[in-house]
Amino acid sequence: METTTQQVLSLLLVFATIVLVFAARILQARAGSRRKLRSIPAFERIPNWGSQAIEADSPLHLAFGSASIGEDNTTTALANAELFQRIIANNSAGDSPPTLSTSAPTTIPLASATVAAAWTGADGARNLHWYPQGKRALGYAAGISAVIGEDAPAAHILAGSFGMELGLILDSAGCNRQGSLAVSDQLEGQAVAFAMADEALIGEELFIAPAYVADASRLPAAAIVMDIWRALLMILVAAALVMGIAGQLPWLSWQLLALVALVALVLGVILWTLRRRRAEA
Amino acid sequence: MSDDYSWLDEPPPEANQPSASEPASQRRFTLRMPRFLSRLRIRRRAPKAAAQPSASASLLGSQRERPLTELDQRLKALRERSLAPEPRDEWAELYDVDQALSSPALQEKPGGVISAVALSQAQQAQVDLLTEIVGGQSNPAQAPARRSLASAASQSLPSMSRLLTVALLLLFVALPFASSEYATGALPPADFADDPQANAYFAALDSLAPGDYVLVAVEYGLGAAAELDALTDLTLRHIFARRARAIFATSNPIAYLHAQNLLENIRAQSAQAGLRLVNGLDYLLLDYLPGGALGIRELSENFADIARRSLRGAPTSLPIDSLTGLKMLVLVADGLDDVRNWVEQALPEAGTRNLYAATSLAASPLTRAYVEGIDRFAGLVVGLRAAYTYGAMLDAALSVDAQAPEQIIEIADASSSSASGTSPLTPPPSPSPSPLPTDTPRPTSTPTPLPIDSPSPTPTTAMLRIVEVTSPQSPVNIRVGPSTAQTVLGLAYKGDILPVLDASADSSWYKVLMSNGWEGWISGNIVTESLVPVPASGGDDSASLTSERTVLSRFVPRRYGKIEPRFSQANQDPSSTLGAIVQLRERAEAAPRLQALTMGTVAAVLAITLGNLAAAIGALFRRRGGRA
Amino acid sequence: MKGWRTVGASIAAITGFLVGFTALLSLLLGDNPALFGDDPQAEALAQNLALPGAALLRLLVIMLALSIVIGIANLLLLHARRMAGGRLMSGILLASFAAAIGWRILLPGEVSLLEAIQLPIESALAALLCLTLVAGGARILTKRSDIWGLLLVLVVVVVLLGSLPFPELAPIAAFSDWLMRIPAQAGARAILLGIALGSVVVGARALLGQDRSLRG
Repeated sequence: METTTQQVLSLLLVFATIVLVFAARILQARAGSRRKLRSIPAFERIPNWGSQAIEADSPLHLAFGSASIGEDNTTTALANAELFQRIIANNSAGDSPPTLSTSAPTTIPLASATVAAAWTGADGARNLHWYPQGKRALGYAAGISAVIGEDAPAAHILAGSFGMELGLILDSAGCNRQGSLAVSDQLEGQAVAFAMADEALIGEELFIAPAYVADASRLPAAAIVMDIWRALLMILVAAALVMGIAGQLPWLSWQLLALVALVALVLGVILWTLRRRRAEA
Repeated sequence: MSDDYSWLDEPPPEANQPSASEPASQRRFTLRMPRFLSRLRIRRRAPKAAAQPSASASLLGSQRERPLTELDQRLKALRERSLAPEPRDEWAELYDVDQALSSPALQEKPGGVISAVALSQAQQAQVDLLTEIVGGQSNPAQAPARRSLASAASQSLPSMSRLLTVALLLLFVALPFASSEYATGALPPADFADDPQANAYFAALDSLAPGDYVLVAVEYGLGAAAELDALTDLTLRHIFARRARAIFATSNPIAYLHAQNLLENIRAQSAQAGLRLVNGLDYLLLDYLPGGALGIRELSENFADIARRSLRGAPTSLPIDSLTGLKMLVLVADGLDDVRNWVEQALPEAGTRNLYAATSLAASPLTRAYVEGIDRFAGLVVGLRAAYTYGAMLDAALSVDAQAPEQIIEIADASSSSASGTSPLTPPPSPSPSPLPTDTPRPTSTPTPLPIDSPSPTPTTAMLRIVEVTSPQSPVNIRVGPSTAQTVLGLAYKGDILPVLDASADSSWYKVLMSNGWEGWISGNIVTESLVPVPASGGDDSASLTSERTVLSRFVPRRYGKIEPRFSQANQDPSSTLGAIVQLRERAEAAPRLQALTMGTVAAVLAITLGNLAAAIGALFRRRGGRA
Repeated sequence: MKGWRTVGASIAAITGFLVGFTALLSLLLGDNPALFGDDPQAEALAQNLALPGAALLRLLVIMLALSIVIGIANLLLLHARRMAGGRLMSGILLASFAAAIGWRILLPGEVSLLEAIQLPIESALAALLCLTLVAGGARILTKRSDIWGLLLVLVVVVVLLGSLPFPELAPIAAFSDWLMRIPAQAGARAILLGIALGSVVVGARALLGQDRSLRG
């Protein structure tokens, strides 16, 4: 793709997203809270861990990993901060302020502000750990493992940017029988999270996580916009696939393709209806 | 709401009978604890005994319910949770309190305490309060033992299966080092015939011309060093052996320090062969680029600024001011994101230059897929096995014989051989069978091929004419001819003393002798000339260069020998030292490491298969047991 | 009090929006005269448009470089407090910090400390990580005893076998290559696309000042 086209498309994408976020908020305010978030089992355990932390007077460990303000994973760091802020606010009745950790120094002010905004007790940011540095830093994992040994957190919410080093942290958590929820924007970390964490999120679930933790009754505008984009993307991928196949197989006529599309559509509608009925039952 | 407190007053079946029968949790604990741990007893003060139901319990029970509409969102959520279907779920929610409430019984039992109930002062106060509220009536037997003491204790110790897994892995990995009988698995091939991407990487580096600049981006942390150091090292040696120059860049601060060390290692080894690599001339270590992708973007847009800043005033004649002046870009990375950053940020600013990458095995599948559609991504090598092949190809390309390294090095360390008084032709004392050529200082085996234009015999007199480098700016250049337009041959540092062979008519330039026997010209503005008396005993009967070196080394032994040729200049004669820098690399453990990797993988497959098989069989039995 | 807070938050949101918007426009539209057609002024316009973005990025890079100071200050304060609370590990950490600084002062230019201590430790950690992952792999079915767990185990074993340098395992290697090239790639791309979508939406929210963590 040409650079100019790329630039224009990027700009269009950003503007369309902004407009959609606005539109979704307005529509939502008018239509009330009819739609609900789909169920993600991983989030159902967070309140339990919170209760355990409060009752055992132990902290929750919330980790950013190498998600950093100013680098390519800035949005991950922002989404984490919002998620952590809501988790901390939900658990601020406890005596132990949360343990936060990061391997990126730029995230320290963000983490500090997150705790300050959510923790009602005094000096909530006193357990803010930074261990140097860089992506996939095993030193960070080792530092956190030491903290796990000393502070004995009730559970670990490891949402951010992690590589393989996530395995060490999750292993420490498992050995100490502490619950863990993990998600990473790096694929290596995501694989480790899936195999070793008690609960794992995948992909964009990290970015809508705050909605689940705060108030599960209402679908946030961000989630609606993400659904719209996802649907568009799927249509685009499907169209590209069909066109690719059509280009490669000369006998494939447009009529045949249309027929296949129609059958798929009908099947989809039937399946969707069945599923809905079952859900209602 | 008052019903919710009914459990507080529920009479337990075996209330207040601490010592008559041990609680279940405590029995488990005693059985499972190893003896050495059960001796460790943590003292804890006894909680207040409160036999009678307290007023607090009745007060709580008599409270009026608040209307639901008055509750805020969070309390509503809490209420919903508390009304969850399982009626006894409070015990599951009350973390450790079930155990803590049974503490009087635990207290009286000698010998068993574990950290899970070693409460802090604040926790103890809370337990005391709860005990008071409950009136000492607790019912641990009915509570689901979700976090029993015993399981907490056993979990802190590594489980048996885990220990077995680790032992299996360690054993398999160690075997190839212990005996060659276990050296299993085919070693990598001698060339990249079946890997066009790797072949392109090698061919690109091999086609470098003297004086080409290559940007080497080192983007891996120390965790990946064991896998990627070999590839970085080979890449650098290949670049230097082709007399090209490397410019280091990284957006990872730890990688910056590590790259410095790798380079230091190569420098130390090449110094043994009489070659000197100089920062700012043969290579350039750019400052660490903060901000990940942003830092790389900054480098690609402001290359000249960053290069100037990184040099901190050292003399250089870096002829390029942007990435387009490079010959190529090489990236060593352990993750896709670093590859993506360099491709997206640096490649568009690099004109028509290609990017080549070396990655770890873990990063390779994603990297391969990512780079498929990128035009100027031209080659990729992956992991330790590729490093092995690369090393073999490099040896072949530079005609280095890995088995007989002593025969290859042809640079004479003139100063050390003459100072120690041994003949330059003395053969090595005992050629070491080890292929590691770096352990001992290398004795000279063959004389140096001196690039002397014309033999210029110096008259031996009682006084020796020398110059001392006095320039405050150090190092200074020694050039091929008496002009600043001439090529730089080597460097001299402040305080260095050089014997004078000749001088220009107005003494503005001196022809000096360098420590390796080369001759070059140094400007008169930056040196001070003087005469040094030569003792009679030190005088030799010949007018050879060796005699002067001997004389001078006796006078100023510490200073003499500092001046060595720049590496890229020393390599001007291809027949002499081209392979030395490749020759000197460490290569002893390459094959056993690969075999250990093979054995480790076999052990991992065994452990994963057996472990999961056991789990599956166990689950089947449990299911059958449950049905029965 | 609350009123002032709202005003402060609004000012922060507006400033954030303006700066973010300027940077976005500048970075996306700047330095590309082709966007502005054949106008003779296009070149100058594109260059001028690129200036604010470049300036902001430079500022950001400088701030990022300085952030290491925050990290070190945080590390020292945190562990000094923890040491005062009787945490042995924090004491060791501070002592190591002082020793490393001392080493640097006494032996300037000497960087072997990293190679002598940090490198072996990180390599040992990497080895430990390998053991941990294998031990974790051996317990996949105890954690996930369903069809997905079984699939995961099978894929892990096939890929590991495929990486072994035994000629007899060539068919497995070919299958493993296909697994990594097609299904694994498809999954990876799907996850990365999801993350990219999430990033765009969170970026838009941050730009609009809707991000709660930014509002404080």
